[in-house]
Amino acid sequence: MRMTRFKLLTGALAAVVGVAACGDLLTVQDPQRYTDEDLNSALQAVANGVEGAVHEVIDTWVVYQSLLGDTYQHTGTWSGYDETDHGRFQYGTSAMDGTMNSLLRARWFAGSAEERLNTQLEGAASSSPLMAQVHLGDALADLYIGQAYCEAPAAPGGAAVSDTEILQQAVTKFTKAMGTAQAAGTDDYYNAALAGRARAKLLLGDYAGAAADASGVPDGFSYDAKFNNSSSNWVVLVTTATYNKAAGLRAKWWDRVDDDAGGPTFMHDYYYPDEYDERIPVHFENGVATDNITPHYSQWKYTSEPSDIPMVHSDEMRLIEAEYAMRQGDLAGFIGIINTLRGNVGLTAIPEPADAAAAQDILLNERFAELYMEGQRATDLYRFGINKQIFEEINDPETPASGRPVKFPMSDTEALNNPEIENLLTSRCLPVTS
Amino acid sequence: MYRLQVRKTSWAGALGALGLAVALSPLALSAQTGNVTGRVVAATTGQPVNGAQVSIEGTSQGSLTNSNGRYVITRVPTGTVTVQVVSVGYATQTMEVTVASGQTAVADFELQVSAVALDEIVVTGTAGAVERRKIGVSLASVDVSDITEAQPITGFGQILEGRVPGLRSIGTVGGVGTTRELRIRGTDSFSLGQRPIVYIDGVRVDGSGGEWGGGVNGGSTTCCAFSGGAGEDRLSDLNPDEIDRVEVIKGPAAATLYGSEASGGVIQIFTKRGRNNSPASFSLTSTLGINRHRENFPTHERSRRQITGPDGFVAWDPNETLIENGLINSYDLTVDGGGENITYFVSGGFAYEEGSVKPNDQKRGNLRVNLNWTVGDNLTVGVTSGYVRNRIYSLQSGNNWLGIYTNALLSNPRNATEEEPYGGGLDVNVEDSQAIETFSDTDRWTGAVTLNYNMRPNFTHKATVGLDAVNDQKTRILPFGRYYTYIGTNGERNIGYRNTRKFTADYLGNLDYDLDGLFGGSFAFGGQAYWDATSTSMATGKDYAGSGVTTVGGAARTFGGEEFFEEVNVGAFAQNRFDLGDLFVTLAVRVDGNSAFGENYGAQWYPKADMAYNVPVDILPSMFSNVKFRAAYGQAGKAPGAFDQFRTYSPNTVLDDEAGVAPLNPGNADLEPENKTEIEAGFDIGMFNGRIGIEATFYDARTTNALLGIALPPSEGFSSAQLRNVGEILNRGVELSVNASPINTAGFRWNTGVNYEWTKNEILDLGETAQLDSLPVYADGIKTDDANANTPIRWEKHYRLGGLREGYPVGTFVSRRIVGWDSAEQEHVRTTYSSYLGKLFPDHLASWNNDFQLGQSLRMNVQFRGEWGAVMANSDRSYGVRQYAYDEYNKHLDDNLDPTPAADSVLNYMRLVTPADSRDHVRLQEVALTYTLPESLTSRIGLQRSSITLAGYNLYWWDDCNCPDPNQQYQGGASFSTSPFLGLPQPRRFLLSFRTRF
Repeated sequence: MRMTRFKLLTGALAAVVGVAACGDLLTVQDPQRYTDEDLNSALQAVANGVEGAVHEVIDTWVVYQSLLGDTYQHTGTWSGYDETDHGRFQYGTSAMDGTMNSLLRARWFAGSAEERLNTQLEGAASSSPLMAQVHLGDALADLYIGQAYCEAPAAPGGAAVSDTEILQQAVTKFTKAMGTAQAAGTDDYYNAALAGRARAKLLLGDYAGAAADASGVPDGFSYDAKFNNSSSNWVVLVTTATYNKAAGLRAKWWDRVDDDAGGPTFMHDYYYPDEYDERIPVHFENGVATDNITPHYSQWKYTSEPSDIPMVHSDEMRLIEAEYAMRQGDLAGFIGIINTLRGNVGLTAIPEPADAAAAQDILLNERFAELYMEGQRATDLYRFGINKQIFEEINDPETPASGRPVKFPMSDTEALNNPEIENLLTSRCLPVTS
Repeated sequence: MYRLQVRKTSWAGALGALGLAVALSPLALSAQTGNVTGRVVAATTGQPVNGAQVSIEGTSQGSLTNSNGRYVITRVPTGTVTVQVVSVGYATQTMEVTVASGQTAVADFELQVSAVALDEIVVTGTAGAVERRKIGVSLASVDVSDITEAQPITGFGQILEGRVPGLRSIGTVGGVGTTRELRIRGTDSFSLGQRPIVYIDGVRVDGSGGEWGGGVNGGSTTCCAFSGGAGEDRLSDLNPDEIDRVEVIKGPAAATLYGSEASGGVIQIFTKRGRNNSPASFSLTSTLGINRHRENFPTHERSRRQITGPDGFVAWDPNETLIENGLINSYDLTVDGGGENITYFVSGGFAYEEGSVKPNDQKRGNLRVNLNWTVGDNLTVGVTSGYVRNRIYSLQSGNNWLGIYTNALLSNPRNATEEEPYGGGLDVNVEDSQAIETFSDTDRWTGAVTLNYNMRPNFTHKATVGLDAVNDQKTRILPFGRYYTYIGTNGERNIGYRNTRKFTADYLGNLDYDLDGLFGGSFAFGGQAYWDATSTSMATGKDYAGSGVTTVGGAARTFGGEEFFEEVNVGAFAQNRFDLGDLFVTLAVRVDGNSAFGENYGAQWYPKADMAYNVPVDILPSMFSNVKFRAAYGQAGKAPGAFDQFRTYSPNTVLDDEAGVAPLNPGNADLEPENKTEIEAGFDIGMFNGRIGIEATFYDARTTNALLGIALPPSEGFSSAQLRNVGEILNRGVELSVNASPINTAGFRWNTGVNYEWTKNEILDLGETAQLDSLPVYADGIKTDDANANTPIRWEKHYRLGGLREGYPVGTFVSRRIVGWDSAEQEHVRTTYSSYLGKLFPDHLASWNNDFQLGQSLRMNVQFRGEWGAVMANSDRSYGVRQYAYDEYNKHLDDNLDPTPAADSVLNYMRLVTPADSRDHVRLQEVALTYTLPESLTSRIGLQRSSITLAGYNLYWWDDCNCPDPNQQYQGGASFSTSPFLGLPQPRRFLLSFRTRF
């Protein structure tokens, strides 16, 4: 009897140890995430994921580009906005790092998706709308990186290259996307890729190439960063009158807004101040912003969380064509395009400018209006080399014109974790005004 | 081959010893029995000692004294037996009595006060009940029954506050029911939770504290931080009146037998039990009191200077209008007793508590039934069952735009209007903020069945199965028609359900043996299985057509999300303690398998060894009553997150509400548990007949294989860092506890104790991916306008990974700082580079507890506690100034309330940096005065021992933090965040309590 009990206990102990070794008991599954294998049967979601990953950061990209340029000023409590507005950020302290990280990840996912589509669809991959979607997302990621940042890795885990090289890569990728879209018969992707390539060429100084591409984009076309109730438009959430008011229109624009607006209105036209410019919706009701002291002049182009943000569209293409005409000295052609755009929104035509300088002013003003809150203004100041002049005119001691960054530095996260990039501050770029 | 033979030989030897011990064990008990009864009182005061353990030596028989100090032990073998009495705070006594068959022998005891407790029986981490003198580790025991006897404690966290060296239990957020800081011996991980694991009567329970919901699939659309980041503390579900004692083991040296979750320590809670052969004894406690904040919010200038808004409205000062009295009201009724074979403890309690800032309250009802059934001489069955319903109306505070505290403190008084009396800017007025309803509604059941089978008196078996089931339903309503930032006026409702199940199965076998002529000892073996599953679901409704409908489905837009976590751990252990006279040596090993370990990783082994040597009393100088030296070595672990090992992609909604996926976790099939190895050494000394007790412990704990998130370059896709076992963290420290009874007379008794701990926390290794980096050191006290102010005097090199730096603590504040004043630009000079400004967790903690007893009737407890060494990244201060809201700015305004150069200077400073302020402070934590009513009075109305207590908690603190409370931390019990960020500070508590028995 005694031994029987002992055996029982020994057996129980052995059972416990045995159970501990039992693999199945210790196997669990994560029901809320996909595995690599799962994705092979979810190719549409993969392609959507690539395109959506680019779209999701455009709102943040727009906010910081607006703060870097002269569209927005910091009116809240967030140090990232504060530092960008006042040009205080340095390498490693830029609040735009997260946006670059997301664009780089989207680009990697595009490469991974292309590989997956080739494996799963085999010969049909090259003419698949999914592949066109993926290729467009890939190219857009490069465009938005090259436009806002002064350097980035050209490939996953690769060495950092200049913004010029990133934009050149974008041109190549857009061309590839156009080919795939054409094979797949997806006109919207084709036009989006064509328009994207036009902007990339413009930023590279290939004005003729840009204008040629732009002319192929039909009137009325717009490719927007799409937001929904899950992926909210952050511009709306954090800068708008009915939301957080963490940023607002820079004070230089206030005198073009009615003091007694009492709500939504439009900015007055620069040339004909009696006219409202419908392209520049604003909101002002004489209230202060989140910082408790600054009057809050809010953008009103995006009024709800799912508001989409135009990324490339035909009006921008017409402006590219106008710029090419201006640079060619064809001021009549230039003003013709400009006035067509103005006429579309009921504004009086502008007389033909007397010289190139006047034409440039017109171009910049019209681009500000037409591309309002699309993040293009900071790029315009940069490529026309007028950042210092603009901020000297603003004359705000807290926003000095000298030494102000004109593009964002590469993400610190990328630089620190990419073995191909030397962690040496002196070897990194951060262009500033003189 | 040779090694295998040795192993076989060892096992054979062990089994042989086991068999020999069984063979040598005593025979079964005689059927001839009698009873032993008596009364236990304190020698000097004559007061009955409640809860003293009375046992018959050499048997497993025993009983507990009741509130009158009485006990009865039945079925005691006839003949001369030795009765032993053990009680915390008193010297152990023994007495021989002769028991005759069918008769009752009497053994009364008068216990002498003692500050050492080497005879106390402890069970946590020891593989069975054992006297403290035999263990080689530091193990703390808190006699909760004794504390609640003298103090009206209404929350579990408060029990541990300042009472256990090495354990930091502090209140950090002021809303009632909100989570607390609970951490043992420093920070031992980079990413895993720092709360110790918690058991109630052998069952692992949900001891979480913190906000949940925001991360549920569906992201921010499904909800929110319900109340601003703090969330509820599941330990606040516990009713202190149900608790008998708490044991705390502080690290792997003691916690090895708990395996893969225990490296951060173990807290075991023992609920009260009934007493054999004891009539029903009722206890009723009623408490009334208030919560009320100190009026030290940094907004006094508003009222002092009568700062007005544009319409002449005088801005409200939150010190005057936000702070109210929060009612505290609780009732607890318990009854315990028992017969020959069955004992019972039944308790019911109701507690209502309001916060000092409203709306915020907690209603908690507890019900507990504990039964013990002695089935026969060898078998007892214990059943514990505790149910709680805990409804918390959470305060909106912390990182929360909608919070009333945020609204009141961060508003610019110069914008004040009747609608926004604190000031404008935040866009949510006071009434709308207070109209938000946020509830946590929790049902919880924790229970267990325990079988104790004594196959032989020296060979026992204990099996426990138990379950902790927590159902938490949270709701938040932002009513239609009121305006809220982000939401507008159309209203929103969020609901969330969190269901947690923790199942425990535990077996312990224990064989005491005595190999005559060789040595004695105890061999223990056993196994545990834990299954933890948590499912969380959320739903949100946005945009209502009008008021009247408040269900999620009634909204125009609805969102949902769901998450699930599951973890399984199975382990087994064997331990042997060798009793070698005054020397006790324990060796043990545990093996664990865990579902969170990487697919390529097998089981984890944890070894342990400890030694206790009690210096023979006869060779000690007379001033020493006992001296024990101890040393221990042990390992324990901490498992990775449930699904960290898997490479995964997260589903998301993109484009026009279309399904998408995004790379999330790169995964790691080689994941191992974090492994913490601890060496501990110390001594326990009793002096002057136990009047002074000193316990000192040194420990050196190193976490190897610490999980580090190795960030991949974003260009390589995955957004989560890849967890790898590459880090190493050191926690080294000293704990000192000195308890004394300086005065112990019939008329006056003073027991006092000082607890002190020092912890050095340092990152030793960040793995191969860490990069060489450097931090500048700037000169302190440099004169303004000094051209060199912004020039570092030297650079300190180190390896860095993200915000972690080798050679520094886990929590550091690294930031740019102000080093001068540029008179030309009229602004402060901010350093070009960030420098090290201090550690975020204190390295010195101390408390001083005093227990005064005057005569038979008056008792007073006083506790001070303090912390030193930490800094606060005082975001509130810079935030408040930048918002033109705090005194630090407003006191510099001129008579017309316009900015002066001094005000502009302060503003400029706070725009440039977040200041580092010291968290050093000393706090008057507890004062409790108890008056025991004369028995001549209470007996007239049928009452027994009855007392009235007047108590105050968190009464005052001395600090230099430029903040309301140096312990302020808006996320409460978060493992790594220490940000104050508008977390409501802890209120003061004033309580009046009546306690009686009948």
